[in-house]
Amino acid sequence: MLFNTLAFFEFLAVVLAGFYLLPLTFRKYWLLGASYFFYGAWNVKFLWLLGGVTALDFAAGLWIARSEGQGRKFGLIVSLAANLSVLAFFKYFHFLTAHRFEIDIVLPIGISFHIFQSMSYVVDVYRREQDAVRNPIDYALFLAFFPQLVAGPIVRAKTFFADLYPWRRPSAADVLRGVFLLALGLTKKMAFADNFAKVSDAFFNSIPSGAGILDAWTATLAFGLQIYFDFSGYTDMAIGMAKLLGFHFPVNFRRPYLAGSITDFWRRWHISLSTWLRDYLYIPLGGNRHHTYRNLMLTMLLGGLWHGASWNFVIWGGYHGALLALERVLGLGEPRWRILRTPLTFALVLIGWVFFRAPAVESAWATLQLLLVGPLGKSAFEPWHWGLFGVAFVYAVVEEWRDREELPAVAYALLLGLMFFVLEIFAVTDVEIPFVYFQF
Amino acid sequence: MSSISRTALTIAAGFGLFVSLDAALFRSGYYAGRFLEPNSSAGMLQLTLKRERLHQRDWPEPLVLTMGDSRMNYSPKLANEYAARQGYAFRIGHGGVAGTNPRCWYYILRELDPSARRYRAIVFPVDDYDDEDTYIDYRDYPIDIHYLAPLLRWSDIPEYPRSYATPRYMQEAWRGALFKGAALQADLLALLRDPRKRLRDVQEVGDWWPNGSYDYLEDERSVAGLSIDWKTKAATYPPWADESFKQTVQTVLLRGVAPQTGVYGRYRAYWFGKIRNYYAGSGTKLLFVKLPRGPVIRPADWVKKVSSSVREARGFVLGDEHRYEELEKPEFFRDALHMNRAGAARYGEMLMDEVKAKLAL
Repeated sequence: MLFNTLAFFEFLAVVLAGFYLLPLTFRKYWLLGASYFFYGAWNVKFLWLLGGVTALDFAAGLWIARSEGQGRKFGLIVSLAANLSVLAFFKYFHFLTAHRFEIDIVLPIGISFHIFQSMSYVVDVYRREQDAVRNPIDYALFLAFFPQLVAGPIVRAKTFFADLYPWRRPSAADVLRGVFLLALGLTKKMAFADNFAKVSDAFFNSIPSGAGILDAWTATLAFGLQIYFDFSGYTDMAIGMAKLLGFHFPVNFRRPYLAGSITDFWRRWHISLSTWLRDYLYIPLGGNRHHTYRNLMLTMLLGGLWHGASWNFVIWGGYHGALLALERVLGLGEPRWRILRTPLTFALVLIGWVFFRAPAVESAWATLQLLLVGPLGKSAFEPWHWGLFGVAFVYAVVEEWRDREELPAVAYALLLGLMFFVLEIFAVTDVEIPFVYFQF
Repeated sequence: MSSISRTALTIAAGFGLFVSLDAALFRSGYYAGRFLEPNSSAGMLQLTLKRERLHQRDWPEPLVLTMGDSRMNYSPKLANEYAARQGYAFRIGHGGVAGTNPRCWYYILRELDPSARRYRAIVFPVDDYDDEDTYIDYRDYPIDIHYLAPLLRWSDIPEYPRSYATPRYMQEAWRGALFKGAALQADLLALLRDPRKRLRDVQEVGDWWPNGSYDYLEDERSVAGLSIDWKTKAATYPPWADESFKQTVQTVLLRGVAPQTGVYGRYRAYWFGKIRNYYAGSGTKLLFVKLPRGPVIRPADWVKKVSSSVREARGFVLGDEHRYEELEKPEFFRDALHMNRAGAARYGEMLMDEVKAKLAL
């Protein structure tokens, strides 16, 4: 049940109706049931896995909270080992065994997100930064909450339970913002991402013979725009739905393509993952205190591998790790001279996307070569794609300038009307293009 | 005003703005009249409407309108010249468009004749007075969604989508009726791909259509030499027959017999009933006429038809069932479906005679 389908909106309408009509005490049961239904609609068999991870980490949290010394560490290690084993088996088995075993492993949807979310809870309890959750229903809802179950954002327990425990009816402002974000996310996905997906797919699925520099750059640009609109659109919808249900999730994207450096880019792109990697990997490895470059590289390599079990993602992570290290060596981490460095950063990010999108390392290299040398070729964009790009760019610049200031009601109404209209004209409905991050 | 009311009002205002934009561009006819691809099905329909409105304005004589699909390819120009020679006191216009069917005809007539009083008579060609279900379910004819999107009104929203049979088409039809821009999306994106070419085409085809399509004469080619041994289902083709022609013969003349469920009969009864109701009490006469069925005729005993919606339709005059059988010969057809120039010319004359005789105009 994808967010951009009629079936999902029918489901959401039922969930919202139940949520607003039921007494407050029943709402979490209602949301948990809805979340399991949502997950089961994809593959009912994997509900046991979600339930297993929930039970394991709920118990681990209680164990750690009640233990001292080695007992705490034991609980942490058992939980992390079990979580990572689950992830390793479903996601990395073939990669780790170099495809030597012919077993058919179906990747449970969103496994990387909810495993990371659950692990962060256990670590937070171990660090005494989070109280252990006493009610299994609460923990189950934390892990299974449908708006962010399959593609994030990766929500910290502190954030989630801060809304769940003193649960209040969503305010009128939350409802308005929630509806706005739902519409914004849907527009980003269906009108922007899916149109750019058609362009990038046409190139990357099979590089056309005779393709040149312009083909490669525009196809890469198309993918850069696709993945941004796709993932940030999904996130906007998730945050919007959460608002409608009384939860306040932190922002996950802050105009990443306006970043003035790669360091700045990672403060703006998939913020919930980059802060997770910072807090649970980079800093424990030593952070900026010692072996900084090794830590950066390891974090980014593992961050790349988190996205998928392939060398493409490892190279993509390594590429970003190297750029981050280089910026640190040259003292270019802070985004000064943005007017000059933003286009350069954007170009560097686009080059990295080649590895992310290309189906294999060989085709990534072939694309990289085409980006640099070869015949001129022709643009894969049609004029109206540039128009869409222009609209998105202006919107991003305006948003950057305002930086999420609360909009007046008239502006909300105007933007809602325009978004519905853009959706009507440009939404891709002839093919169903899944969200990119669903595969992770 | 409470904050909840303000929120509801803001969301409603956003939706209202969207509906207004959609209405201003697409519901008003602004887009369809100026930018629609003239070589598309919806574009040709718009041009046909435009031409027939010109006829309504410019022709002083009582008007008769024919409907129909591409098989109704008589030449109105030749037919009118023939009528003038015979001294008939009416002229004929053609509101039919390739690929249309009774559902489309209802909405086209409503658009062309908002008062239901502009025509003395309307002629509906059918190739069979009995109903034969085929493997095509006309309730789910997908092209209708594109044809009809520009013609639909708010009041059609409850009924029109339900005239489709499957949820997928109902949903598309509902979307097209409610949000016209969505139904015209492909056309608009094509316009954005090459706006200059589109505007040039709109201009050129728009200039040509009113007279060009009225003066158009069918291809002279005939399928003489085509015959079918119905026992063995083997066709003998004319020497020039290519794969495309042979394919049409197979899918049209030698098509399999579908289960006779009565769906087609109910479909025709429903839409012809809507047309009859639209013209009830208006003085416009409604006439069914037969179309020549093809260059060779399928054996009558192949299909046991279960209904006859045309014969049973109240408020319609029934044309002579066997009048046009003399045209059902290979020399009057250019392919398995359509009459050639000679067939179309003769059909036009016979049609004018029948209209004159049946409707006493």
